[in-house]
Amino acid sequence: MSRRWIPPYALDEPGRRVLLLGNQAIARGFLEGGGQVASSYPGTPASEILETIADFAEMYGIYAEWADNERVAFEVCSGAAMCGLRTMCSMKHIGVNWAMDPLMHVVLRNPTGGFILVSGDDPSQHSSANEQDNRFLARAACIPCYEPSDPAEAKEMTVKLFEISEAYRLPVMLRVTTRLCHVRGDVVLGPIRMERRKGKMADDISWRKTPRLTGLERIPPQKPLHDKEEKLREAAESLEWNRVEANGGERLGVIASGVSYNYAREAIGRLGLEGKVALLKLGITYPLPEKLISNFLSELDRLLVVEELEPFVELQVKAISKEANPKIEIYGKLDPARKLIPREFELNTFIVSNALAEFAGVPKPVPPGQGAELGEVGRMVTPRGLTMCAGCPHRATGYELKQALRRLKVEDYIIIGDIGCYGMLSYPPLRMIDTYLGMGSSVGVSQGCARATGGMAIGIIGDSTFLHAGIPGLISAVWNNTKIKLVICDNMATAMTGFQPHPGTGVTAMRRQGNKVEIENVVRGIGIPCLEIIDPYKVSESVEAFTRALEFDGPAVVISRRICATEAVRLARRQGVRLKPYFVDPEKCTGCRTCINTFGCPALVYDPSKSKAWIDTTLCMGCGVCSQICPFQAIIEGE
Amino acid sequence: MKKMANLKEFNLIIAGIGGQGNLLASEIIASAAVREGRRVRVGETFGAAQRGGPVASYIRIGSEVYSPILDPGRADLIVGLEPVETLRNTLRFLRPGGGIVMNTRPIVPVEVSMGLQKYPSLEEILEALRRIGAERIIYFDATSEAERLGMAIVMNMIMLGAAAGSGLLPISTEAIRQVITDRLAGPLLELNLKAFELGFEKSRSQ
Repeated sequence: MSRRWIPPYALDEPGRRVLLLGNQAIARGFLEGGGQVASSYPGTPASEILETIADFAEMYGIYAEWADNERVAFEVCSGAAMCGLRTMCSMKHIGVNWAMDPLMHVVLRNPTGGFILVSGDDPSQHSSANEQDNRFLARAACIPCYEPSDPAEAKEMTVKLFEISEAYRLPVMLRVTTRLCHVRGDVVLGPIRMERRKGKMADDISWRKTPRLTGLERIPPQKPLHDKEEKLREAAESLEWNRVEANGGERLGVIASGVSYNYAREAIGRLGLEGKVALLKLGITYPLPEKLISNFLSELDRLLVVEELEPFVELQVKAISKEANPKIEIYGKLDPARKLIPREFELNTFIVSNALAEFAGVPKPVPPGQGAELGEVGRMVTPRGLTMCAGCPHRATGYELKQALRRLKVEDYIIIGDIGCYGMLSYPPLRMIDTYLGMGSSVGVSQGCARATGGMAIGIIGDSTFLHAGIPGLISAVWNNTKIKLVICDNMATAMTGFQPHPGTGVTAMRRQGNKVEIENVVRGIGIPCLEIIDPYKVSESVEAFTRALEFDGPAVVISRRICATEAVRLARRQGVRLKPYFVDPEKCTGCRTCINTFGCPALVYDPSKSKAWIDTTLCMGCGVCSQICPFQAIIEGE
Repeated sequence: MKKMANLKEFNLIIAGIGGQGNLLASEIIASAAVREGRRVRVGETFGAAQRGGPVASYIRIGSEVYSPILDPGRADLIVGLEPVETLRNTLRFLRPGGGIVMNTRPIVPVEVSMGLQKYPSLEEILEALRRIGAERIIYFDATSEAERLGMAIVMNMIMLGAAAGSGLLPISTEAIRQVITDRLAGPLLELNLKAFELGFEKSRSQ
């Protein structure tokens, strides 16, 4: 396919300075470092890494795929690395929870190909249900953990980490956070490594090639792994990504890693503390360069550790200080009397400036224009929560389920949501989800709720999430005859993370045609006794189907299938099809607000001056669901 | 255009709601700055924040810029694609004497239509922006202009043109045009350039 515009991350123009997203810079590092296999499952903030690799994969003879969950992705990469290819497995922080099992094993297998695990942590939970510091998982697996501070450094690190991983025959973690993944910055392109290896499992990995004595020698021991860790600790001393910024003679010091370095650096400049506060930037946080840190500490009276989430570096530095400088006062998160950096939420220059001012005994910065008289203006600012898009099929699905519950007068029910856009059914006006845990858990948690309460327990899960993690739970429900109702909202995309394809679409990451995994075939194959398939844009038929599923005495599944509205709008635009927004006939509209109060599509707006509803045609995509809901037939299809 | 050879720090916010084309607009401005040899950081939020929620891009340009997040009271210019989002970001981020370029077409939250919240009038918003300390405010209904061009989604390009026409950006208009030309193709390019010029002229005449 020819295209006029080649995105900057795919250009073969070494030396050119371009603007790249952090995730694109990591993907570019994969290309420049000779990566050959990449596998991932979408998850914010890490999704664009695999998307970018998939975008240039064809062009450069690389293989990139979405797997159906992070564990599978990690296993695919483990296989490729054990066969000698350079490989990258990227995922969001909680994705690593899924990959932990194979990770704990592959560290003992001495893979010959460079193997980078990218963990995208999400301080402040911009798109996540928890904050989780995955540096502890690197520590648990005995693999080194590197933290870049900006896109340019992320690219450089990625290239070099392939070499480090191969030198130690050990996977490495590139730990990034949302403010690295989703920051755009200027990056200088390097040369693209074009070596393409043919994979082969090394003789010392394959058990076919090792002589068999007792059988027990097949269980690899931990000792060589621990020896690697010691060597990595020594090697950390000379890493170029660790750097002391000081004039000499400073009595105060700051240690900062990853993105936090930027805040510390700006804060020192803003408070005019150059020459008074020395800064040690760390590019590796496990294992730490102990000599470098000991030397840094030995000159100081006081130290401030600036890092996001857990006191991971601070804990280790405290241990180092015992010998290096026992009198040093360490500020950060651990000591309640010296706690200057919050353990929750992401940092910024303002937070770090305040901490640093207190630490250095200088006046705290006052932001201009933040006087109390502006409180009145603040109250004027209308809050705006998240919502599903106009025309979203999930909103219709939720409305119809609610109608069926009302019709059957079911009052004792619990609805467990899952990870995806339908989670927003918990917001007004539908407000119908009670709670949720992690990926796929609606299926299992609803079973526990059903057993505990004896009432109706309903799980709501998306297509991609069901295929990721919902299947074993459904098998369990069928096996134990636990009478849950499971609604699978199939919008034919992994919408929340950016419309990536999944097994149900049959299209692969590299936009090739694979084989389509039909969700209803999976559900039928498990042996679910009641299955309904609906189009949520057809309101009364869908309410009927939900009613049947709710009445069924046993586990039941409703697949609600309709393409994501945002995708539908995009497709129409691409194909030149004009969408027909609906409009409200002001003669018929009584201003009852049923459409808004029971359905609440953002395209439906109430005009208090006329006491009538109207439809914002810039948002309406013509799904027509509201016209089926209006009790006065006042909503009409446009021309 | 502000002439700044040794630009240390210039902060711009593009604020709107998910789906308004905020990210493309910020990518274009930042690419233009890189083209002119500047150090650039753009912080944005993706994922859940896109779904009809507030979205802001922080574009930071200059030799002293490291953090991808902007601190309170440090924005030099706010380009608001929606009135309440303009106000939300101005209140938190505009420095006294900073500038504003605002689309006056509201996108009303569901809670307002339900009667649970109030959406301020344009007059109230303009007065509040001035009270916060905005020195120059350029405003017009860019969505209506985009609809007249035949496609509501080019509103972001009209606003980009308006930002360039305000003279408050430290980047040449030519560099921005160049990036748009590189980035888009065919009839879409024509339409987007037309939208850009329309916004540019609208802004200059205010």
